Amino acid sequence: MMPGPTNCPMNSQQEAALLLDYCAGRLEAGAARDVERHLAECARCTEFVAGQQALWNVMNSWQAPPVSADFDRHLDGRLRETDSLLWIERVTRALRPAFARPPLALAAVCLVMAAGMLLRNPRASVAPSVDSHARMEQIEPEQVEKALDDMQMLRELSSAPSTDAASPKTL
Amino acid sequence: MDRRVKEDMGASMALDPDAELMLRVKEGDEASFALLLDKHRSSVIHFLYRMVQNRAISEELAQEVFLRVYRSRETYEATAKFTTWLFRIATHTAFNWLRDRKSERSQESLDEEGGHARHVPDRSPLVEQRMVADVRVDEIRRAVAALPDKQRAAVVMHKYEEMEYAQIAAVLSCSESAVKSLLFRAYETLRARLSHMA
Ligand SMILES: [Zn+2]
Repeated sequence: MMPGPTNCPMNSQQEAALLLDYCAGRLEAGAARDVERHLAECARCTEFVAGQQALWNVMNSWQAPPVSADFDRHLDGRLRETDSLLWIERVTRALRPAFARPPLALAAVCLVMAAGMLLRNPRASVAPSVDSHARMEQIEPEQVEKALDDMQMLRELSSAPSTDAASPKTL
Repeated sequence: MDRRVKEDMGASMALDPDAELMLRVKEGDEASFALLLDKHRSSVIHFLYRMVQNRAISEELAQEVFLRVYRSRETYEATAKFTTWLFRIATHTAFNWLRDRKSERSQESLDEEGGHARHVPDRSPLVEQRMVADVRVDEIRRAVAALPDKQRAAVVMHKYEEMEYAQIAAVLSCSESAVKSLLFRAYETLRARLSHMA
């Protein structure tokens, strides 16, 4: 390529990138020597390089502030929220066919309630005693209400547009 | 799966350790996500800071960037360098914020607000006040802020993140020659505006 004014990098914006690389110290030794030979005989490029180097020296004084100490803690909290929402979304997706058919939905609610009872009282047998059956009848309306609330919440979640997971792919 | 991805990536991509880490995140390894965060936290925040010029907002946007990375882990494919993908997300996040801000604040001038959003509290006002008080820095900041968004992103990636033309092109989804033209015009504008400071 260089030297010689006909091969001047300043003849095109594409070639001028070579001078930017030179100013940034990103050229290999051989290429940098070629540029320097050209600079020795080209006032236009010499002026460009001087101006660019001066600009970068000025720009060096703009430092970014340090990262806040609580950045990771804040992010960690939001990641946990994300995990919970993704979990609920997955459950919603898995249960969607069942919710489309009321008898199955009712069966699912009963199953969840039964599992909840067993978890709360691990000693309870599958065939409950009279006492535990009475206790179950006492809390049943409240649990059904809670399950229906949960179902409503899941329906709302499943009908809300879910774009986050796919968005970076669409960038 | 892992092996197939590596084969698709070719020899050069197989050497990208960050893509390897992200593939581990995809498999459920949270420690790899922590490593990626540790490695790229500062560069993403600093890039966003120079784009939006407010510390609190840049950190808020960086949170969104890392959340998007995490949420996308299950669909992640190592088809590009990890940092290219990361900065593509960061750049789009910044562009979106700048676009929204322009429409929200078309009546307000940069001079009035000093380039800082008022409604978001800054976590470190002392640092920011000191920087704003520095006339030299303030002038550079304004000159960069006055560039069109794409030129600004190209300059910040080239000058401050020391990225190659090819990577900037991949981040901005344009050709390498388009990036060289963007940079040439941007630096020309900055040289004219800041020459008195040299
Ligand atoms: Zn020349």
